[in-house]
Amino acid sequence: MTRRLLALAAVAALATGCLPRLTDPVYAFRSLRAPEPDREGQSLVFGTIEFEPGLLGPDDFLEVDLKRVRPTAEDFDRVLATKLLLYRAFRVRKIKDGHFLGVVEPGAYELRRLIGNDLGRSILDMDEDGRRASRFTATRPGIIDLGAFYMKRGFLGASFTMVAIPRAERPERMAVLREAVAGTWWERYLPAEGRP
Amino acid sequence: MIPIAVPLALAAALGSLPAGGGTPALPSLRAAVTGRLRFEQGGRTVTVGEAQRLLGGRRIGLTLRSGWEVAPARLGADGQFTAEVAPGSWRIEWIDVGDGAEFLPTTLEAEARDGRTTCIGQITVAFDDVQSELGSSSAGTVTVEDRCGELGGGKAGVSLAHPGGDPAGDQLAVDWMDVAAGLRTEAVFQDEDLGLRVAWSIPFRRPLAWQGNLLVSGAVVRYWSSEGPPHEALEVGGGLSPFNGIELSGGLQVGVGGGPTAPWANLRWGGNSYALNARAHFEPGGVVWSFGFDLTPFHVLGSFL
Repeated sequence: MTRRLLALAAVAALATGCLPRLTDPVYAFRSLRAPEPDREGQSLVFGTIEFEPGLLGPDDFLEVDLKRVRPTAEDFDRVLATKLLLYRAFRVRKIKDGHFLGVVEPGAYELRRLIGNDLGRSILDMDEDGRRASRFTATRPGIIDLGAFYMKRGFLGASFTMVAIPRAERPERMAVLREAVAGTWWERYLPAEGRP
Repeated sequence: MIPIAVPLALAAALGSLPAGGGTPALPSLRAAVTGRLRFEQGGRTVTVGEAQRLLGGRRIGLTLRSGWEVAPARLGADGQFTAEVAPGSWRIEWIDVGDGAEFLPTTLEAEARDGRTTCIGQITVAFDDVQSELGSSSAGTVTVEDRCGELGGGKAGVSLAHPGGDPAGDQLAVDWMDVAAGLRTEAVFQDEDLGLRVAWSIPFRRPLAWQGNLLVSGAVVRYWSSEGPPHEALEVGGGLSPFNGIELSGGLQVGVGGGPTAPWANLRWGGNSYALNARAHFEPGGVVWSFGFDLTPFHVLGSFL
């Protein structure tokens, strides 16, 4: 009997990754929010990624990962923003509706990969050219707007091409950013209303 | 006499007032750092002025940072720079290039001494090709040389800039979540017996299951035997992670209520959420093997919330 109970408990625990989370209804209504800095000199990174609709593969992302290329450190990868974290109901929501927010220390960074929202949680690795094209530097503390990107599907949705969306086509992003940083440390770095 | 005495007395009186609690202290600019910035291409010096010309007139600047404060330096075409800063430790992390920046492969740290000008040396940033690389964070190396004799006119104190710590700090420092994740429950299979092991592993150097971590652990085990009543044992031990996802540990198991005492060694293979275990108990009659599957309640609960 004990043996069966233990086996059942093990299977149930392993299955947690496939089950909805108890806090999903609460999380769905949580607003995008800028995380407060945890070290002096950090910058806030804001970006938007939209996926081309399709039947196969992901149509949204669960995580954005960066690679730091300067200052040099071996394999310095950083999770910029994720939905895949423990106790997320008690933490700041950093990804919503394609927008993401995260903090970084001074350095030069590249976009390394996205984790898709499909059942298999596809890992969308950036190729060398994509990584170089996405490189940005965080220098003076402030807000870095990476802009908006469109993930265009390749054959059967198995691969994607990332295309930059002109800023003028997504003017609503600034309102999203303003709302997300309101009342946080980062509010002081917002440009005045009416300025780009 | 009187016109001078009045402002002096007023200044003395104001100086003796207690500091206002709500007023943030203004940074005092009572120190300066000086030095020279130099680019190198194939062993040849490229001055700041030349580099600006190569880049089509894009402005090259140097900025120092200390926490949230940034201080721009006055940078001449010959590369000589001076920055007026508050005394303390300042970092040189990037070179401004037009609207962009060249982030240095190694960040430098310099000490600005109160009331003094400090020469931090000649900073050389090497490139394969300055024209195409400067501004794309592609510099090869950064070196600092003591050329202060040529720079400061002998008046400045010398304290050369040196490599600074990582701006991100220690990303693998142990925090309370790592300690909480050390509580593990394990189903143990030993011959015909079944056991439940509740252990707490406390990491020291890195989060659990990360390469380079050291840990100590304590555990309580209860076995349900097919041939007798259940029995319990206590365990203490220590271990290390030679690779990510691998934990090697060992210790002593003491039977409760007169049970045998035996050393043990364990190999754990898996992440923080769950893992497989193979354990050897070195009992007087020989080695007894057990195998187990452990789960971390902190992760199981956290993945639901």
